[in-house]
Amino acid sequence: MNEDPALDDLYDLRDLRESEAWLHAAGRGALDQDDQLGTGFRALLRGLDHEVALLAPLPESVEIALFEALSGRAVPAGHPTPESRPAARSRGGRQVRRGVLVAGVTATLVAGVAGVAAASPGSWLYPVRQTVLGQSASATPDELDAASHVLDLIESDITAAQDAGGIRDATREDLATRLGEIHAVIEAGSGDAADALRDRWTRDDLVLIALPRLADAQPPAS
Amino acid sequence: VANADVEQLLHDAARGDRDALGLVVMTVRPAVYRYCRSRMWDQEAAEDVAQDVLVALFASLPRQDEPVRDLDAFAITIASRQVAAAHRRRAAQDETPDSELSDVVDTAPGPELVMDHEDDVRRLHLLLEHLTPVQREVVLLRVVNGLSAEDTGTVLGMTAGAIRVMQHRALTRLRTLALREVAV
Repeated sequence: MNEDPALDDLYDLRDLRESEAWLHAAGRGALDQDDQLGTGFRALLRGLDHEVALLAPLPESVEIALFEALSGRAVPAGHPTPESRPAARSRGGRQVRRGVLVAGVTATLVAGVAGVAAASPGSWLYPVRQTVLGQSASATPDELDAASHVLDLIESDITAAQDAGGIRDATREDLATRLGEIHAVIEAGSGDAADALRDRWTRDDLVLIALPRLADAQPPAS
Repeated sequence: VANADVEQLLHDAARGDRDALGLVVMTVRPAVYRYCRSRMWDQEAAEDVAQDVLVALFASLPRQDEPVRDLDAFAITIASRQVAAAHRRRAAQDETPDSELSDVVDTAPGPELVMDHEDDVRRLHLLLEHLTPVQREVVLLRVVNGLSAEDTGTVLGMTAGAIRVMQHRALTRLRTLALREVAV
């Protein structure tokens, strides 16, 4: 991610790093004694460690089932197999999705150009605007990092919407605008990192389009 | 046991080597049990589901195109489906009249629980209930299973960056709730 302290302020990356460090410490049981959440997590981990240490050996019937599973004689339903992966989807399905993608890209591009053009100094979008509308023809690594972070936020919001069973119109519009805002930067990037961002952008855009509408009266997903 | 060694052990186990099978089980069972147990209040039910996960895992491994990069993360992906299925069975059981009850996994709290006696754990679970299901899953995968943001993303089908955003929001919410609890 970005190492520029000024941009850190804009994108809250330090907060994210702090949370990352906290979770890492929590997983190792290394939180401060006075940490408010630490007490509960320490107790949870202690209880689990205790129970894991007391686990009885597997029954012979389970051991036999494991041998049979390994030798391919028993294949329980519902576990991942190469056949169940997305790569096995039909060509027709891909063509339909590509059609949806073109429509989505067109819509978000229109929104995106408007959003980028409106960005002013002080806005997190300003560096992006400079890239899109300024003299730079290709996106810099910092700008791609910034776009990547925006995608992180969007993906998190989309997941929250999926969690809630749908999305409100205002939220969908906001996310579509943000996707549009970074589209030009991502398209201006080159190399594997930019390719990966383009894949993520496409996926998020498709999922956003497919999310069912949530009535405005329902509480927002947090 | 390193992942490369697991490949060899699985190969040996598939040919009937009990020691090899035992070593693989010893490697992956704790992570699977921890996952199941932290989402199911009944210890016995968690053990049963963990065993189902191992069988599904062992059936799945020989069918993968490429060696599994992280065995724990792969096992937990399977565990998440099995635990969800156990909860669905439990929900269906709750809606079934007593006379029609079949042999389904009981995920209800039992009096013998070690963790149920811990007020701190109970309080933590009450706090976690305020998170969205995905936020809760992210926090538990990171803390209880010690998965990295990358592996957590693999399990949940999200990127590591989105996981970091989500875990930050979850922690912020938990801290706010904990502060409110102290104030009360």
